Amino acid sequence: MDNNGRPNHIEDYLVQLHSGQWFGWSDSKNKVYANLIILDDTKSKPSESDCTSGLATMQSDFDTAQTIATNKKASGKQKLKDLGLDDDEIQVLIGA
Amino acid sequence: MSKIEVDTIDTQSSTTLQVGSTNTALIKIGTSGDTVEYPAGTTFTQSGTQNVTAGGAINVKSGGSIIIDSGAAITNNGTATGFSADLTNLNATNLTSGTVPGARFPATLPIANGSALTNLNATNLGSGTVPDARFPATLPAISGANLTNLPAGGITEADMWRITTAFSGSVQPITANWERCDEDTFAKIGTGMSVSSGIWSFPITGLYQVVWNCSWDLGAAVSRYVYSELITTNDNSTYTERGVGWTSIFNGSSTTYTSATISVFVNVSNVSNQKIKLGVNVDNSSVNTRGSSTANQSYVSFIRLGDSQ
Repeated sequence: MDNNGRPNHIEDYLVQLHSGQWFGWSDSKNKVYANLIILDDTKSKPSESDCTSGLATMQSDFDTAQTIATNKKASGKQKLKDLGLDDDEIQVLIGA
Repeated sequence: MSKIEVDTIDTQSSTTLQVGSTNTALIKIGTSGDTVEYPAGTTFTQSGTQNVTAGGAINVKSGGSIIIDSGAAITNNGTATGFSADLTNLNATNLTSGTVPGARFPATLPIANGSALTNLNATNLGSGTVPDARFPATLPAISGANLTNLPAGGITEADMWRITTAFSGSVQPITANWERCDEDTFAKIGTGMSVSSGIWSFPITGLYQVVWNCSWDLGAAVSRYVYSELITTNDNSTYTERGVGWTSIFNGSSTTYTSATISVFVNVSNVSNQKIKLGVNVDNSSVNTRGSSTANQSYVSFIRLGDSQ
């Protein structure tokens, strides 16, 4: 994932698929699906499309969550204004 | 030519028997093959310099000798030959000039005391080893710039490994996806550590500092605790917790990060029995332990500080 926490690699999908060290890479310098290896025999190897679509879903969820958070922050700030608080007071309360 | 044939010529009254006088051109005694004898006890007296004419020689036959009495001398104004093999009792003190040719020295010099030899050229030391005892206790102050293979300044072991691939949840011990740091800014010192099934073995005995750093992330959730753990064994069987790095993750409305570092000294006196394991424990199973093969995120370093205590 990037520095903002947005998933940007199929490893981000794989990590949340199962707990523990169930997978790895045959070449850790080249983390592509072809190099994906399964370390835990009780786990099956997800398909490449599962990985790419799973990552896309995580990115969409992340973006949606970010949008919702941004909107809620804006609506909450407006409601505080409607209650009569000025921007400085709101800044002190919520940091935005 | 007149001729006198007698058996004995003697003096009348013990005076000098003189053969020849003022006008004598040549006195000849005997002829080829004859023997002129001076009986024992007689003395051959010379009153001046007598000459052997060109082509003549004094020939001392086998068994005969020339004896030079004390105070007498042989003077050589020409070339003396044929003496080299038979001269004995020569006194080397009388070698006052010239140079003894190298070929006159034997291939193996006789055992002698060489304490007075000076101006020796060390370049000619072509083989063998100078004994340690020949070096002074305090070596002379010279530049060591060209010395190689020197010990690493007291640190003989230093190594660093990291987790290459992220995982979620608690894992104890961490068994997979370890790699020794391999970027061009890193190089281990010494043999280095080895790891098998999550068990770390030390290459040699010594006092080691082990630093275990873990980094985690969690997306928009809370983990009341996350901690890294270092456990050790002294019998290659029973492990005891020796280091714990506690932290927690709050809900930052998006992915939130944290890390913890443990530093433990491990006194390794037996590399077969003394080993360590590393692990992580989390409250929220969605917590990810971060990994990378290009930058240290979750990593462990080992530095041997000195001998085991």
